[in-house]
Amino acid sequence: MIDKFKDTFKEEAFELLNNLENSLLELEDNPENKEEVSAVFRTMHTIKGSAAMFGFQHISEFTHDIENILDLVREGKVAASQELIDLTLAARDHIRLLLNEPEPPADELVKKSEALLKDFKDYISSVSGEGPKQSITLPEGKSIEDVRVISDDEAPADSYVEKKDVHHDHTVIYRIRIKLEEDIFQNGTKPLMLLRELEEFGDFTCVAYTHLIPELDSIDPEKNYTFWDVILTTKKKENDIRDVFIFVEDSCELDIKVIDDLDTIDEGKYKRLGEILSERGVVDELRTEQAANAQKKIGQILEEEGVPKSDVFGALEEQAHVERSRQRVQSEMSSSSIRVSSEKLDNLVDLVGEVVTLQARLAQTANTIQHGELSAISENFERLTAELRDETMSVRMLPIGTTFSKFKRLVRDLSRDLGKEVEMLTEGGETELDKTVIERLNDPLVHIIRNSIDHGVEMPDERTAAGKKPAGWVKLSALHSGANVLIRIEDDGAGLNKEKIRQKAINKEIISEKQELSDKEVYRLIFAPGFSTAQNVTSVSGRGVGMDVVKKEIDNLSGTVDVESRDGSGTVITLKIPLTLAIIEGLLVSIKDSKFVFPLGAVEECIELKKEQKESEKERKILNNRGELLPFLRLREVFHTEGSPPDIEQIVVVNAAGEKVGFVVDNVIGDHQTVIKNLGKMYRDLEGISGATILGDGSVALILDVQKLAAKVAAEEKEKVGT
Amino acid sequence: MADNESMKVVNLEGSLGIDKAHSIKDEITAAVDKNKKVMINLSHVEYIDLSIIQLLYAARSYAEKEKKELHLTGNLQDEVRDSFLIGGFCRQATNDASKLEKELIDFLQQD
Repeated sequence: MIDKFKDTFKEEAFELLNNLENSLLELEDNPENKEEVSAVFRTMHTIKGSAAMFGFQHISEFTHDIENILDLVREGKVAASQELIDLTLAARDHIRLLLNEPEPPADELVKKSEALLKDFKDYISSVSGEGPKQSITLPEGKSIEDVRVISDDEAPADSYVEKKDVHHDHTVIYRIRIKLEEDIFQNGTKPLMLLRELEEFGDFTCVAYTHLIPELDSIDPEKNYTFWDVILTTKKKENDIRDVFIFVEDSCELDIKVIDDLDTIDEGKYKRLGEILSERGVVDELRTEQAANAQKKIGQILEEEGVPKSDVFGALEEQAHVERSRQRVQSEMSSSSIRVSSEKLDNLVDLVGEVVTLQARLAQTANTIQHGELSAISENFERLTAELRDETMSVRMLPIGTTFSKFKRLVRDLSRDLGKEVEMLTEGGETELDKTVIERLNDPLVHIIRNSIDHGVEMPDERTAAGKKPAGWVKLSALHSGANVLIRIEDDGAGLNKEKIRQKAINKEIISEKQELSDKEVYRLIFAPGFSTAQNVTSVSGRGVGMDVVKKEIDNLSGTVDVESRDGSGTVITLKIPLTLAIIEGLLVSIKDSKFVFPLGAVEECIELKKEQKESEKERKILNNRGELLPFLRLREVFHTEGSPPDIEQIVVVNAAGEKVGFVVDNVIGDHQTVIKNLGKMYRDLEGISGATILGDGSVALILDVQKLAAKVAAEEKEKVGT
Repeated sequence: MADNESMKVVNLEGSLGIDKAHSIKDEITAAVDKNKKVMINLSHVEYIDLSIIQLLYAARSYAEKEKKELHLTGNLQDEVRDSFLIGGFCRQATNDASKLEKELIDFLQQD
């Protein structure tokens, strides 16, 4: 059971670390952004807390120390400098590493933690004494681990005017003790109006203390005898609260304390009554402890102590207010989203797939037996199934922006390593794609971005010489295009050097010297196995395996890669990826008794192949299709189908990697909702087949991998030309 | 001399602020001194400020000291009810003054 929780913790921690990275990078661009400083602090705080809870003691201690340092930044005592951000990023990476290690971690990692903390300490001591903003003086005999936020009650009483607002945009709960002078009515002040103003700030609980009001015969009706405790849940800052009392500043005692921060919400109950009362100085802590030991009821103790009822009431109100606020925040958080394991989602999609398959059978049966009522039911069922399918698919959709933001760090680190200045721009991060597709896009995108920075964007001096700005950019954008998503990776670098690529391909014997290639074909050579345009192999772009891996992975996703390049002004790589891999629209065809499915997205048209045309094909399988030469492949031959084809065959024209290729089949049956099933280990490596689907009559149809089949046509063509 | 069997209703009216505090104090003091039971009717109060709320507390404790009865009565106007609520004198908003006095913190010492 605890392992299950640990996994959940890890999952959440990884997510938090990603957020942390984003916040840090944001902070790097904008070091004065207090919101991000708070976000960074909050994230560390959350990791610390939950790590401790789940027994990751080392992580908890490590983050605890860093949290203390970040607190100094939050308080404005230390600036969020480049160096500090670098250190925090390193710490973030280290925590990520620790999360994957058993607890306690190996000595090596512990040493790394210590080294990192030392770096932090060295940094903090180095900025000490560099002027007021940067400086931090540690009390004698105290190390950085001992540094804590100076809480309001530790701070000198008169320091509030200078004190910076610590809580930015957090929803916090304040306890405000308001004591107005006796003569407050004399200047026309209406205390209840002040309270009304405070009430408008948020969730407001007010307790008046009336025990100082004398009896009627001794009261001076023109004097104030009441004071208040206000418990206020608000996003407002302490200074906003003080502003309410600005005109009575000299005649009022205002004590404002933050008693809870709802953005770093703690689990469980708020303080016990005794704790609140001792915190307020009503009873001393020792006595409440004794009371707890004596197993007496708190009410009894308080009565014995002669604690005024209003004090108890005030503490009770505080307790209720905080717990109410916490509950509300928690229910807000839990109702806005829930965490579901991706396994469950996959199962759901599988089940929906089964339903779609069953529905196809129902439709077929209803059609066969010509039963009116059953047909009506089947049609309704079909409509619902389609809705269910779309909804289920949409649950699996994630915005691609989550992946984009991961690359910001990559771009930052890479460009630094290479001594280049590269900014990463993103567009269309909200574009949604199937979760599985997003996961599998990660590696190809890493390779492409690496290449753009390594080979694309030039060194600053080269750029200046070429009349460009010294800092280059890489832009990631995504947009929907039908059932596909187009992902563009664009840079403003030098562009691809056609001649260099061509020469290299000849040297590597990827093409022959005589071969004439269009620009597009030359560009596409960069995806050929074993191709690398870099003069030196760098750790960044690897050994030239990158781009062919990209091509392979995108093929596996049934997507396409396209390259455009403008000399001297950059390269654009466009990935066209299907929205989902689970259910696709397909074109069902038959060859003899077997059925096959083409992904409909790739199909351009269907044409007939007549007998006379067959005669003319002879050796080369090329057809004149409305003036365009169309190479084609007989699937009968590919799958070694016995028997003779019908007189009129069909050609399915498919767009594969920008080229049109025809596939000859016996019959085109029509479009088909295709629930993709994996073929299992045994058949995984079958060339030309990407999966299978179950048809309405229960039979199986294979899904064709048109990219691979097209490559086969191209290879055959090449062979023929060669001979 | 106090008529120990009598009951007096003090009708408070209008907008009650510090300017009325002295006269109200005198009126209630006289009523408590002269009667066994005093009812303070708040139905016609349009506005009440802190000084007057303090007087109500003072009157109640004075009555207790004098072994007299003093209660709030009437149907509060919303504005007045809210003053008690926002001023932190009670938790529940109620327009019924006789119920309100039970809600007022520390108002009733014994009852």
